[in-house]
Amino acid sequence: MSTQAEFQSEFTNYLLAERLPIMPPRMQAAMTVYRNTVMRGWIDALAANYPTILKLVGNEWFEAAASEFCRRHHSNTPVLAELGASFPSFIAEFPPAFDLPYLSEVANIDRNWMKSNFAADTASLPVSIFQGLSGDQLMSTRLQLHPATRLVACKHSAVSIWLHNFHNNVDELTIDDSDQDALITRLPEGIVVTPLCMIEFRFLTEIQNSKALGEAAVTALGINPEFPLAATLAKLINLGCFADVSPKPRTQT
Amino acid sequence: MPPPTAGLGFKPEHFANALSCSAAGMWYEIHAENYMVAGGSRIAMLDSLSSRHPISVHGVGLSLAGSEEPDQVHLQKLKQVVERSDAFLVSEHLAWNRWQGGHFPDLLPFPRTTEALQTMARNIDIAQNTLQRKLLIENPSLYLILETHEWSEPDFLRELVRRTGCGLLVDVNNVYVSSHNIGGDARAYLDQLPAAAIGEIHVAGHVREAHGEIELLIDNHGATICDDVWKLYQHLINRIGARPTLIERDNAIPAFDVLLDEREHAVERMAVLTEPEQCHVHAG
Repeated sequence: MSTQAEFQSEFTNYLLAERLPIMPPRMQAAMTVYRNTVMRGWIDALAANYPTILKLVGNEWFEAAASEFCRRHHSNTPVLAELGASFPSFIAEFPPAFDLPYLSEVANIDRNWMKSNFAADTASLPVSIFQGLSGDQLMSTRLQLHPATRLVACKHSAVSIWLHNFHNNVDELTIDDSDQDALITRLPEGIVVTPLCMIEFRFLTEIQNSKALGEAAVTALGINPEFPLAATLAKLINLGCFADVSPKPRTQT
Repeated sequence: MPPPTAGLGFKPEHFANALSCSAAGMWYEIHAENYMVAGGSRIAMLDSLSSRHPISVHGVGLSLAGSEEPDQVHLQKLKQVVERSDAFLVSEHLAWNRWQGGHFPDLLPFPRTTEALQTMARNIDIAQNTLQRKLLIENPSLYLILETHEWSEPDFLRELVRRTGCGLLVDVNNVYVSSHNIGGDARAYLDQLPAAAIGEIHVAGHVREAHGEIELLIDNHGATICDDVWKLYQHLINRIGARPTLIERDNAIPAFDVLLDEREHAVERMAVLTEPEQCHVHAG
């Protein structure tokens, strides 16, 4: 190992050590500055990436959880928006969060909100795309999710809790284990988080898995024969859920 | 468009003011890593801003002073940001922050040895060849006294310029902070830098922090620029002439107008210089 590499290795050990070994006061002061700056940088980036968690648990709790996370999961990216991908799963196994079962799922919504916000730009599918199609043509169409569309499976009222905080709602929120998943989409005016019922989620998951619209409809109607296919499809298109159709549906001539 | 004089670090919360600002010579600096994303509102903001104002791209993640070569994926992302914003300046640091796959959000020190000079020159060559652009290298703020330096910082920077053709970004606040923390004469330091290589200047605020008996100055980019730093800035531009000068503020960010007022300090100081060529912009 080169002298330069040896220096980096030793310096890294000082940065990441639980506490500094005994060293001259000047060196200790300097190393403390570097250690504080690194930890502050990580914690601030996590707070920016998980704003709803910070709101829910407050500064002190968040800093304690974030410091513990950063000590265990060393960042491998200089792009701070990517930092903390495994924070939701860390929270799920973090003992102080055991009595907050929704927290990890709320973190997962924050994470996917960020992914949606930074996803590639491409035009959304317009509602008019289906005009003039026969029923058969419609059912054989395969839709593609927009790069900014994210599906997050949730339990524990995580979507309601997330929305409640996002809108700074001061009313009391009833937390139950209602089955509600999250759909995150990007519209010109911003990111939208929409609760989905279990059947809508299954329907969209089938489409995400490259199933034709007809196959996805069969799955949904198999769960509930009353599933409002046309209304659901219109709602999803209006939310900017889809990017493109492949192959392009042909209108009847 | 008038040549860039003094600029501001771009903050998304100032987007509307920044976009419509009509101050002559205004430009903005962005941290490259904040724009290494595929799309969305942040990229849209950058596109709008770069269509109206010159952009300087300031990287903080290349780890040029590390023993490892620059990460190619990161370098390609930097190239995309530079091209997308049609940057008139591109800069990085005399520091490292990557080691064996781990990455630290800070600019870390190293012994300025001949071995480090060779690896850093190699890393700058790799980066400049990929970017097809001249890089300006910035002096960092220092806190740790190292006994194993073989080169002074000005000599090290001068030699990097000679070997790689890179330019320099002189952070006057960092010179001030470092001279307080590790010793040395800030004016003498500035006097040793090669004037022709200097393509940009940073000025910023700092805070005092006590560690027991030891008081360190911390380059926090979170305070008003102090008189001593402005005096050092004046000293530098009296010798080298005007250069694009950034008011660097990343924390406790005040209203846009407050930053504009600070920017005026730099504009006025540059305006009264007697040098015929008021502002050198190092192209490409």
